[in-house]
Formats: sequence, C-alpha cells, structure tokens
Amino acid sequence: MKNDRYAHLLKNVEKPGRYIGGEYGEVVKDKNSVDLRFCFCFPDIYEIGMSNLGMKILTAILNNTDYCWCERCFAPWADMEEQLRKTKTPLFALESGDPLTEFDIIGFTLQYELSYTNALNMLDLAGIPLYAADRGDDLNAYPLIIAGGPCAYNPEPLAPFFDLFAIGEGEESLPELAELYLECKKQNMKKSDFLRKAARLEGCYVPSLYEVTYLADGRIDKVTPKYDDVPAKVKKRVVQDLDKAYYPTQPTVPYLDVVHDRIMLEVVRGCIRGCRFCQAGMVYRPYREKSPEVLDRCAQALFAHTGYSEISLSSLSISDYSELDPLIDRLLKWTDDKKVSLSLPSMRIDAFYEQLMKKVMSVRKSGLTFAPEAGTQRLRDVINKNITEEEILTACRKAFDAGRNELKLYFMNGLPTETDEDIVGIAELAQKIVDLFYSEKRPYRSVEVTVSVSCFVPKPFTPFQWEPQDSLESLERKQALLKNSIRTKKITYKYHDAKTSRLECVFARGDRRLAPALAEAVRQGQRFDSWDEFFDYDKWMKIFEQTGVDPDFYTTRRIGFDETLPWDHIDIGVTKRFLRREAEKAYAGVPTPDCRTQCSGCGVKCLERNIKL
Amino acid sequence: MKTIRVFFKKTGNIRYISHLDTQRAMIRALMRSGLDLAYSEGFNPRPKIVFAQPLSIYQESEYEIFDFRINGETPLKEIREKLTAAMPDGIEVFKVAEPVKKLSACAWARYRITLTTRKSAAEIQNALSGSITVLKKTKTKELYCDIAAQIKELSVYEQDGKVVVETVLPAAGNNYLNPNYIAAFLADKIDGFFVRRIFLYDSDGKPLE
Repeated sequence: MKNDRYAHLLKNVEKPGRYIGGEYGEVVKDKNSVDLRFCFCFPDIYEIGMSNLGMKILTAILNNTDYCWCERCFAPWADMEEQLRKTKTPLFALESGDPLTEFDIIGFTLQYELSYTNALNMLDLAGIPLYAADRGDDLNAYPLIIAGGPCAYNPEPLAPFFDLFAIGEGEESLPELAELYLECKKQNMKKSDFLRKAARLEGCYVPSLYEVTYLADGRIDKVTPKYDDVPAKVKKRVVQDLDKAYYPTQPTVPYLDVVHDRIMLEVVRGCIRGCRFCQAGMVYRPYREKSPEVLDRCAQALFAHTGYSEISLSSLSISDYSELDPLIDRLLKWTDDKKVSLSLPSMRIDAFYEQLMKKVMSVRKSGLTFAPEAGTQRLRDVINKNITEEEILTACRKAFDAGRNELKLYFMNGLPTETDEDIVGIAELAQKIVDLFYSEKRPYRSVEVTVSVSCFVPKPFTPFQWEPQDSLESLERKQALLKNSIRTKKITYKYHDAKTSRLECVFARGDRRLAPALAEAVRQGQRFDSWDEFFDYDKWMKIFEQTGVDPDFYTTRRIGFDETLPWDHIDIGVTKRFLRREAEKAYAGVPTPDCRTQCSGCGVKCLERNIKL
Repeated sequence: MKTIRVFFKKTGNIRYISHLDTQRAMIRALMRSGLDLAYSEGFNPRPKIVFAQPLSIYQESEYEIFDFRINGETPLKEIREKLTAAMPDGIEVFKVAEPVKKLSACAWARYRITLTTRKSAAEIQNALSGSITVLKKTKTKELYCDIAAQIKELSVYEQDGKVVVETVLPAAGNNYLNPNYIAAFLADKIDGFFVRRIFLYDSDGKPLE
C-alpha cells in the first residue's frame, strides 16, 4: 500500500513485509473508479499464500476487468493478530490498506482442511459475523463471503459460514459471479434473492439452499434443495481449452522469501494415472495439456516481468506430458543463456531418464524426489501406483550414475489393506537403494536417502473415500515399527504427526454438524492448525466433546457404499459408480491402466468431449 | 566486463523490507532489466552484486549503493533507464556511474533520527552530551557499552516541530554502529523515532562515489 496508516502496528511485528503489499507488479486501481471491490483471502501466512498458483490466476483475471479491483489478504501471524486485536484494528487488504468490511466480495481459497480455522479467524479479525445467517439479508450490510479451491469439493463443515462456494475451476465462473453480483446490487436485490439466482450458475453451490436430514444413527439421510429451481447436484466448472485460458504473465513478485519463489508454469491440469488415494487425480479431471508454443511464450513473458531465475514445470505428473521433450528443448534455447534453471518437481520414477536429467541439470543442480508411496508391490497395486521395484531401482541407479547422492522418497502409512510387511518393506526398499549406491565406485563417497512418510487420509471423491482411517494408536505403532526397521544412518526417516492427519480427516470427510466445533475452536483461539507451534490436539478433542462431535464417526468408521455422503450433491464429473469399482479392484489388488493406455469410464467422458490424452 | 555503481534511495513502505529481501529484489530487478549481466560461476549462477553497507529494516535512506558487473559497453544513461524501469516501488535510482573508490572505503554514515517526544531539542542534546551506555546484543553475548566515543558528529535541532538528532556514525564493514542505539538510549524520553540515512562517506569524510 502507498499509505503508511499501520506504522504503529508494523513496528511491533517480526515480518512487517507480510502486511504492506507494494511489491513489484502489484495491481493498484482507483477505488472510486471501479464498481466492485473483491478481496482474495488466503487463510495462511503471506509466504504460503503468495506461492499459490490459483490465487495468482484468479486475482489477475478479476483485475483484468475494468469493473473490478481485486486485492489480497493473508492470515496475519500471531504477533500481528495481537497488534490488531489490542488496537481494535480490523483486518485489512494489502493494496489499499482498507478494512475487509469495505469490500463487496471476500473470496477465500481453501487449499487444506487445517486452514479452516484461519479463514474463520480472518472473518472475526475483520469484524464480520462468522455465520452467514448473522450477516442479514442486505447485500450492502456485509461483504458476500465465498470460497473455492480443492477443499470446496466437500465444503460441508463450512456450509453455515459461507454464502456460496465456487465448485471447480474459477477462470470463467468467478467473473460470471462477479457480474451477476453487480447486476443484483444495482437492482437493490436482497442477498437471498441474489443467492437464489447465483445457485443457477453452473458451479455455484449455495449451501443455505439445501436441507440436510439425518438418520437416527447419525448418518445422513438425504440432502435436498429447498426450491425447485435449485439444482439437486452442483456440477463443477471446467475450462475446456487451457491454451486459450487466461494465464497471468505479470504476477506480483514478492519481496519476502516465499515458499515457491519462482516462475510457475502450469503445463497440465489433471492426471492420467488414477492413484486411488489421490483427490487431485480425480477432481482435476479431465486431463488437459497446454502446447509447448503457448508455454514457451508464457515463460518468456514471465521471465521478462519477474526476473526469477527458476522455472518450475507445474503439473501433477510432469513426465506424463506428451510434449515434454519439445517443451524443454524450446525453453533451453533461451534459459541457459539467461542462467534460468528448470525444475520438474513431479517426475514419475518410471519415466526418469538420463538425457532429460542432464539437460535440466545443465544450469542448476536441484533435488531429486520420487514417490513410491508404498513399500511393497502388493500395496502399490492396491493403491494403483503402477511402479515396480525394478523401475524404482533403475531410476536410482541412473541418478547415482549421473553423480547424484541425495534422494528423497515419499511414502504413506495407514493405507487400506496395509500390513506390517508393507511397513517393513519401506525400510527394505530404502536399504536396497543404499546398497545399490555402494555396489559400485562412485564420485561421491556417501549417499543420503530420506524417507518421508505421511499418514493416509481418506479423501472425498477418491476410490478410498469410504475407507476407515487407521487409528492413532495403529499409525503411531507403525511409525515406530518403521523406525526400528531402519538400520543405517544413510537413511533419514521423517514422518508426519498422526494427530494432525486425524484432524484433517475429520474435516475432509466432515458434514455440517462440524460447524459449531469450528466456530468454538476459533472462539477459543485455535488457528494455524497446520503449524506445529499452534496445533493443539488435546484442545481440539475437548472442543469436539463440548460440541457433541465424535471424531471416530468421521475417521475410523468404515462408510457404507450405499450411504449418502456429505458431498454427494457435488458433481465432479467422475461417477460414484467408477469410484466404487476402483475400490473393489483395490481390494482385489488389481491395477487400473492410465487413461492414455485405456479409458476406464470414470464418467468425465474425455473421448466424447474430444479431449486429447 | 566492468563494474557499475548504482546509487539509490529507499523510502516509503519498502523500509519494512529487510536488507536480505531488498538484496534479492535488486537481483531480480537486474535480471528483468534486460542488461547483459555478468554472473558468478558455479552451480547457482547469480548476477554479481555487492552492497556498500546494509540498511536496517524500518530505516529509510537517501544514499544507498550497490555494485554489479556488466558485459560489453552499455552507456550509463541506458543502464540507469533500464534499472529505473525494473525497480520496485520505493527504490529510486538517482545515479549510475563507474566506481571512484572501492566499496570497502565506506567508513561513515550520516543519519537523521526524527523523534516523537515532548522534550525539547536542548533536553535531548543534554541527554546525549555525556556517556551513552546501551545494551549491545550479538549472537553470542549481551553487554553494556558506551558508544559516545564512536560518534563522529552529533547535533540536535528542531525541524517542523519535531526534534531531530543528526549524527555521523561508523559504517565500515568491521566497524558499524546502528543509529537505533541512540534512540534506544533515549527510550524513556521519546514515544517513537524514525531513522533516515542521508549519506555514506569514505574514510576522508567525502560522499562515497
């Protein structure tokens, strides 16, 4: 912001740079010359939010219009929150410094479940009532509070707080919604009437227009629209042609050392693999690629604007991109000269080959990470991670031959059908990789294999959405088992806190009855749940007890295939029938071929839609 | 390849950006300037850039300097224009020249410390006339020391109804005194302060060029 109205607060915080905006490329408009003021909120700190690609795209699209000025706001860190509360200063946007209450629409992106308390806390810091019902029926009384992002596919735990959820990709739906809002506001429409109209836009889910009824045992009976003109199922929005979709080439370049401080080039949306635990692999279908020409043009424009010296090729599985070689050759034509390095963060092990690595290494050495996800072939077949041990070892040998001596491997524990053998298998696989390194003379004397293990969280819209989550006791026992199975210091073992994963599961598969727990948690000062220094499991368990929530109902319970799921009224394109078929194949240990090899009939209908795989 | 010296001001909200972050922002500005930069060798090639003297967070400056290296012969005027276009808000490049002295010649810095206080200039002057003992913190220890002897010049005056301490302090690589210590010493007499660096001097007391 240009003004210095918060100097008295900023002098008392550790990183004032988080709250001042003013970065190169920041969009500043005259607030009196726009019709709509939108504040895009990221419910975590600046350094994390400024790394988010979706936020970059959507803020740029809104700012690309004449009628809208889209500003940014991030969750203030504890020291800033203390300053805001002590001085009764409402939370403000970075560009203008204006309080959030002065905006027409406040849009949150929900990237992970453990940021829900932050989102609500931000509303509270802005002086906005948490419950939509407490914000009245006047469109001018409070900003419209909306949300999108991956967690909006099951937004039910947040249903009573938000006026509306944008389901799916926002490139087209967000401007449509903004225009409808403007039109309705000009007509002095009531909020409820506006929402009723909005509910008819594809991809707009207005939770207050749906009634949820429950069975005596606590399971959901059904979810029904309250009016005839409200769709029974809300279809997610999808951008047809990514080459034609708007992609920002003049992003805001942060001063602070943000998490992904580099050019992010979105190469592909969706994934052809269909790993059965992976929500992104299902909800981002259909698979769509961008052409090397468009990407190269984008990358050059982004370099000229930002001055970043690294380009990250973003996708769920970059090696599946059918034009990876042409793209890299095109990029290398100018990146070497400009000392710009390329990184390919999502390489599949089976596609890893020397030539590509040598090319990418020609400028800068970057870390090497593989994700076998499970320790045995049996379990990898169950989760449909179609990689063999031989492929893993071959990739490692190539990496060692090319002079690498640091490898990072990602695994999960608590996967469906998992036994102790699968856990010990992780240690054995890592050991084989270490042994492989020492089987030959190498330029480096020592090898470092990092095994990073997270806890499986069953997610909505995956074949494992009905699976029970492993209990805390079982997860912690398996973590200890793996620790004891590792016998060399060449292997570094890292694992995630099982308690965090349990809370994540509650909200991932949660329903509307969790809302009072969230509100109470915020009231009791719970926030930054994904940060170790703030996560307080015992407090959460107490809050659940106080608000009548049984976490086991959402975590360790096996959900019946015929049960009404809290997210059944959201339609992501992939059918429930397909997910169930995949679950049954998982139990049988039968893998499913990738979409390019053979269509498995997930319901997205790529073939009918002329989508080239 | 030759060395180019950039003189710039850092004012406004960019004072909330630390030295390290400012340095990174300058590197990016160089990268997007389109100038033919000389890079460091090794795995992570970077433009070669050296700052005269770090500026503390919350402080503004009217006279900051960094050097970078460039290939070929680009007119200074063009360099200045390209840099100006690439700079973030709050950074104003006011001169681009070939270095006269080494950066290591940087020895002194002039500061203006504007105080928010109910005391008069005379009272502040009086407070600063004897020993100035402050608590100095380093990574390993804390100790009290008298900084009075390190101060080369110090005057107190009133300007626009505010009391200003203008002072020249050591600003060499191995001998640097942060003006915040003077404000810290006055802590019980002031409600707030604001530091602006005015000049960097060489060992002869001339503006570093």
